Amino acid sequence: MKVHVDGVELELPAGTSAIDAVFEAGGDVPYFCAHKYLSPVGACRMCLVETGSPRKEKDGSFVLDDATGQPKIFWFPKPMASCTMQATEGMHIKSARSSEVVAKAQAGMMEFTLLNHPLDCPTCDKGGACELQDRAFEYGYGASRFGFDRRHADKHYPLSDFIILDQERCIHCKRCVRYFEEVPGQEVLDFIERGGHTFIDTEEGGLPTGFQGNIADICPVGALLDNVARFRGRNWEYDHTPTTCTLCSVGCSITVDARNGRLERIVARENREVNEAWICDAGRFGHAFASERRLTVPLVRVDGELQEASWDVAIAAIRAGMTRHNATDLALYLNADSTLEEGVALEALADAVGSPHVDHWPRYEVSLDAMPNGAATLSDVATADAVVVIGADLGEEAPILELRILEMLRGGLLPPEYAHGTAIADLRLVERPARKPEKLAVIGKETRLWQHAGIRASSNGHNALERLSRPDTAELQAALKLLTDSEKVIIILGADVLNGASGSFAAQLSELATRTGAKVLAIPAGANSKGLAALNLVPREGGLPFARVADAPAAFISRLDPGVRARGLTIVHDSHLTATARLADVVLPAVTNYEKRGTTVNLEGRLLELEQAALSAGEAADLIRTLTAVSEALGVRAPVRGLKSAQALAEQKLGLRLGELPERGVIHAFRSSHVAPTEQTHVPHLWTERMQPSIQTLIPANLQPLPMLGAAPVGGDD
Amino acid sequence: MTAAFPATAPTPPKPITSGKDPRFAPTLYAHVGQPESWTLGYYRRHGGYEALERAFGMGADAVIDEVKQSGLRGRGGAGFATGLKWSFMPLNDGKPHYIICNADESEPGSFKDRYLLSEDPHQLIEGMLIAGYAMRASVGYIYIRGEYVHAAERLQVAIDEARAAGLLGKNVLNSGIDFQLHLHRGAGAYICGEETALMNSLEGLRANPRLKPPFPAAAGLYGLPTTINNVETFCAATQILKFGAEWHAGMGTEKSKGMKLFQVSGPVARPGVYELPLGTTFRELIYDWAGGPLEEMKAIIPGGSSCPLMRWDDKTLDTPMDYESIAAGGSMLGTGGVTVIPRADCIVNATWNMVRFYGHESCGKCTPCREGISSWMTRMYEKLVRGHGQPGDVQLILDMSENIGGRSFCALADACLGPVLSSIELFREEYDSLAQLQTPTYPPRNRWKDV
Repeated sequence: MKVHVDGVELELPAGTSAIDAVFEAGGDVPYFCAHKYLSPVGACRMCLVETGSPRKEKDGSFVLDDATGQPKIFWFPKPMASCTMQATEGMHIKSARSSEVVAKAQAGMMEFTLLNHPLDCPTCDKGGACELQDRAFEYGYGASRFGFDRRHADKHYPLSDFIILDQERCIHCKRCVRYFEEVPGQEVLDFIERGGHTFIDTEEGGLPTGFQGNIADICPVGALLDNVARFRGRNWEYDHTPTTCTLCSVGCSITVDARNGRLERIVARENREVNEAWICDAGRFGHAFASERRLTVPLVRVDGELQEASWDVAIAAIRAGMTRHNATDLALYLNADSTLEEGVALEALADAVGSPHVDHWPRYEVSLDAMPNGAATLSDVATADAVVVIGADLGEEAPILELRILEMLRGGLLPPEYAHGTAIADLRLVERPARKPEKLAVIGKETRLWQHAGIRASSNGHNALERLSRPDTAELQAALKLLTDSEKVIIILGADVLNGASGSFAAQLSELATRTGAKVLAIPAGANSKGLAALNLVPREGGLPFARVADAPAAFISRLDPGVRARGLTIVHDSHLTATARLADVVLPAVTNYEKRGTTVNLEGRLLELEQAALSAGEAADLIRTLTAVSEALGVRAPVRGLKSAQALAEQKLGLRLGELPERGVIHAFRSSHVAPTEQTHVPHLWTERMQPSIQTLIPANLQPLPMLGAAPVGGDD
Repeated sequence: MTAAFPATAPTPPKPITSGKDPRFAPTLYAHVGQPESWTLGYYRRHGGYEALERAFGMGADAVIDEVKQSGLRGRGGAGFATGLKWSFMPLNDGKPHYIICNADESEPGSFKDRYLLSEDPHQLIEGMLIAGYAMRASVGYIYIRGEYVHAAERLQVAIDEARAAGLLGKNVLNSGIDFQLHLHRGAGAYICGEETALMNSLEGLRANPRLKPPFPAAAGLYGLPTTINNVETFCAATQILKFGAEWHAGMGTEKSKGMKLFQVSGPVARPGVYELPLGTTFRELIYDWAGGPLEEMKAIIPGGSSCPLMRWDDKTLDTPMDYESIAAGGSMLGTGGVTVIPRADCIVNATWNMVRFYGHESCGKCTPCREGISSWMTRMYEKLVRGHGQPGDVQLILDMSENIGGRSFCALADACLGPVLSSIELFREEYDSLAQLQTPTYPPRNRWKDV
């Protein structure tokens, strides 16, 4: 399809909107109401362009211009909203670049948009990152001719604990209303009143938890604001660090905004393949722990009391403590949200000292890496014909997966992609989309997803799969029929069935997948369980799993909080003084996942990069650096001494390339060969106490907040 | 009015373009004002539901052809050919179809449907049955303006009567056709007269206009094929099926055929609704039927407040009232709601009244209407009328109008610009007086005392 934009001819796929045609031609159109992942509505009227099309005679030939002999272009008598207009063969589009009419229309529209906007940019959190501000600068008159009082309304109207609405700033683009209706499928917000009195409000007060924070991201002005980050900094003061969220195994792309060494805000970053443009509320608002009550120096137990010490003193204390143990007795445990590089470093140390007690937590015993039909991706889920969810509470295990399932229910229309990025206006998306609940079966406990599912079967524990294979109720029969009859079908498995599942479970699942042609997506227990399992970070022959840490002769526990100590020397590596840390002999300060560089593997097997945000955490160090220190105390040469060597080792072990990954990550087929019992049940729980903006539970009564020192370099090169 | 039904369909050699033509007799309003005219018994005694039986006898496609041949055009304001609109419905797609009657008559100056609804409801029900049969719709909705309480009550009684008599529901008149009719009362919003906003309102949503395409005939109410017509259009369909397409086409001008309900408001001797053939002149309507103006006039609004004003002069008065002639005169036939504006009334004040109405009724969806009309334009007029005008204000209104006109989502903002732009064009000196001297050319007066 050939389209002419401002006199430039370009080739576009059919179905392209006029606004995308202009952007594809390298031009620019201002817009407020359009959003990449929402239906176009044409409400803000900013994206006006002039369009004209050739007409055909009855015989199918084009009406020709007498003067030029070319097809004559019939221009629309008025400018059209380009976000709701489809470009057609031979269409001519004029943006403000080549049309005075369009330039004036856009400037006039900007004047209207700013009419009742308070222009309190100096006190607005959006200032500096505001679409209205930018567009007013680029396309506005520079002055308003409106000589009357502006609309006055509530400037501090809390829609919920997390979202605060400034009704004066709202420009009525309706993105937030459409977001709730179209993405999480919740009809909670709408316009109230009409005309110049129109305002946004909820019907019954409060917003549903789960995904409400996204409306602060998509608001083109400072009307909907993240209450956790409100008034914490200006946009140009923040250090913006693009990284990956490791709260769950989805691995959403996020930007961490830090100011003066404090983590103040997290916003979503677009990743078409993973989280599109959305993140969950836990991932967005649950960052308080990163800047509050951090451990900044090592603590060493002296005369029964933990006392602040230097790293040298701490290393000496470990060396002294280890004199009572064999190096092979030291159990090494790490949190499953640790990076691949950290996992490699831990494994290498275990190899060096010969300890069989290695484990990551949380994890499941069973390995489902080798399922027939290949691994399912999140985009597969969104475009599937049917999805069967078994034993999963997605809200706690993988919230964004829930959104991708809802995307599948409303048609699974992934927006087209152009050179300028994701389509700004995907004309196939409609307001209040019809959902097809019959495409979703949920087997398990009653969760938030139930209300969207056409087939619902109660089930408990991991015999759900067995019951599905031999259905004993009408619901299970319907679910099995959905699996068998649908072309592209995905089975999603959660904690309820994966806890305690064994090899026979895997065989049964494999058989079901083969029979139905389904792809399997098992939600890993921890953010990087899939990657760490591929490194075989599980107890070796005679090793103790993490559940039996209390039986270990000596233990090094990285960012895990079992609440017990090992029999002998207990070294805790954590960012906070947890219950376990308080029992430890040596406590080493750890950085959070916001402050490290490395690679994580999400539930699809996608490698995603973590970047280091500029947070101040005193002398806290990541696991690689900490293990170097522990090696020194153990008197062995650390096999991994930095990020680069960890990556080299991981590449060697896994047969893949790390570092400099593309922004969307790379899918890799992981295979974990070792299986070891966990002896413990994993209860997925996304929002933990320490994520609350005030973490009283983590403050010991007698401990004063430690002074923040300069950030230590983390994961330095060799 | 006591005119009897014409016994047979007349076949005039020359089109009827005057209400004084002896061959013309009112049909739509023939029974308005008669005792018990709203009852089924009365309606049946006067030939009621014969048109429906004739329609059933013709077959559905023939009904559409008949309406096409009659030349009937939508009476709600836009004047789109009704038969053509009906044929846009995907007739045999197997989906449920809906028809909707737009009885949300809210345009200032329009009050024709009100009496059709309250005095002759069965005429509308019969028209909707015919349309539903023609378009394979088995469900109809009447969206009635919330303020029409009396009409809604009468209409509900009529629907119940018709249902009890087997005219609505399953197997209408043993024809094998099912047709259900529901009455829905609006909650007082002018925007609900816009067809897609009406459908949103009917679905229980906020009355915002929807994006077109898809047009209602493809995806309307509940996403299914829907046709929406004005009350008068359905009633005219009843008469067409009763007297034939030729009879209807025998009235009016070449492109505007049939009879039309014209409404006259303003200081005339007999304001009210008059059923006349299209092509009747303003002069005949105002002088011969409405009894003439009571004082000196300066402007006419020809078809409801959204139509541009026309100057009160011989040229305008001799303009035939049909879609083309009025368009040639720079305005629109609209709903046929003729409002006359006296010389001694301040045109800025009169326009402010209309602008205020549109500002109040703006739905708030799109920027130019919400901010331009509702927030700014109304206040510009208030500023002028209240004596705070400044030089440049009129130019500002014109420039603003340029930024609003054709840029809004639906036609409401453009409707507001009709009186604004035309009044500035015709009576610029009155605007200039307020803007530069802060004094109105014609001071406000108490109409009830002075006239």
